[in-house]
Order: sequence, then C-alpha cells, then structure tokens
Amino acid sequence: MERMNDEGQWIVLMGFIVSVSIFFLAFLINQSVLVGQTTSEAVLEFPKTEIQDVRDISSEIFRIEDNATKNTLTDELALLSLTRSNAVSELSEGDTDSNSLYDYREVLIHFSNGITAYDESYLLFTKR
Amino acid sequence: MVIPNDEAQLLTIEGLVAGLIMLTTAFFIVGTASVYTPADVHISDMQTEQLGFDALRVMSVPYSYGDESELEEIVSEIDLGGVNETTATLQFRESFSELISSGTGATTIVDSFNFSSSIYYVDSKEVLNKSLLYNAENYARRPSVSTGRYVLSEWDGSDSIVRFEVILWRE
Repeated sequence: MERMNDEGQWIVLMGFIVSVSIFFLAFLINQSVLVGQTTSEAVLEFPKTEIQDVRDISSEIFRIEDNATKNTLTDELALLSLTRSNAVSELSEGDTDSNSLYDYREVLIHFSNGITAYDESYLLFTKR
Repeated sequence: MVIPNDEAQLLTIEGLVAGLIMLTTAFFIVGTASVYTPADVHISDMQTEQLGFDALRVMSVPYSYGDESELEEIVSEIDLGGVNETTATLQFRESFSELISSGTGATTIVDSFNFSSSIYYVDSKEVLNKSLLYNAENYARRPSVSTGRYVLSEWDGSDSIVRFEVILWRE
C-alpha cells in the first residue's frame, strides 16, 4: 500500500486520549447515581438502630438484681419488639463470675427480623 | 485480486473508532440521568429516620452517670397523668424539635418537620399505647418514617420497658 499523508499522528493520538478521558468521566457520573441509591437501600435494610437499641436496654435490664423483675422486663421487651418492630429480640443471661474488682455476667442477645439475624454475647461488669 | 481505490483505509478505521467512542459516551450520559420518582423517597427517608433515632438517643442519655435521662423522666411523668403529663408532653415536643433542627446555635434552620409520638407499653401480655397529645387530632402524614426507642422507666407503678415511638414527616 502506498503511504498516505501521515503528518497529523500526534493530533490523532491526543484526540484519542481526550475522548477516552471524557468516556471515563462519563462512566464515573453514571455509577455515582447507582451507588447513592444502593447504599441508602442497604442502610435502610440493615436494622442498625434496632440492634443498638436492644443492646443499650440490655445492660440496663441486667444491672437489676431482682430475678423476677429481670424476667418481666425481658418478656416485655420481647413482646414490644415482636409487635412494634416485627423482630425477635431475646435477652438472656449466661455465666457469672467475679474477680477481685468486678462481678461480671454474660449477657446474650438474639435479634432477628427475618432478614438480618444478629447474635452477641458480652460481659457486663459491675464494680464490687 | 485488484481492488481499485483503496487509499483511505486508515481514515475509514478512524471514522469507525470515533463513531464507537461517541456512541458509548452518549450511552453513558443518557444512562446517568435518573428520574426521582415517589418510589425513591427512601433515599431522603433514610436521613430522616437516622435523625429521629439520633435525637431519641441523645434524649435517653443522662447528663451524669446514674441519673435519670430526660426521656425516662418524661415517660414517668406522663405515667403520673394530669398536669405532670401535660408538662412532660410539652417538654418532649420542645426538646425533640430543638434536637432535630439544631444548627450552629446562631442560625435557625427553617424546616417543615413535624412529628407525633406515642408510648407503647405492655399490660397483662397485651401491647397498648398512649399518645402524647400536643395537637388535638394527633395526625400524621405520608410519607412518614417511624423511629423508636426502648425506655426502662416507672410505668403503672413498677419498673417496665416501654417503647417510645415517634413518627416523623415533612409537611
């Protein structure tokens, strides 16, 4: 093949680079809309505040000494959670132990709203 | 085989590539536009819900360790009924409104938030509710979000768990 006019090669190359970068930026904007939507959906779906709420109240309940009161309170919490948040929130006590400074008991949390299940156990310390 | 007139092959390829790039860019740009429909309000609802939860959380933190929190106080005052109930109801309305519209302190945030709240409690294995009446109709409007918090407080003469719920919406 006979050589054509090949003088504008740098111009052609720059043209390609510019168009590829415009293409890339367009892609970023395109994705950002989707990201905003899916993030907020994921955040709404995950019962973060409900779990925090159950967690906060659990330490208050298990600091009470009287067993009967504790049972009444955990039952009330379970019922309220079922009727108002459509979720199972079960609190129970595990082992207790103590050292020279603290008494501590294990608090077990079970939370499930059908989509997210969450289980946790933590040690609740009370100063002796 | 002899093909006549084959001088502009590079130009043809360039034209094709340029066309492709323009098409894909146009495709992305058109795809970027999103129409905000009523089904998408959950994006802003998420922020409202978080705001409500945060405000309730702030209100249920006592000022100093071992004290009763403001929300606990309000709940037990409402349980007493009468004048105590009216005062506590107004106190809640004031504190909560202040929390959801707090700016720098020097500016007033003009917003159309409104809310109505009620307390859910258990009475002989049944969940009942008591509304905090600061407007006579105790209405709410859609779209609204529901936020709530469990409070351990004096209710019906003994320590109980109640759920303090607030429905938030924009007028």
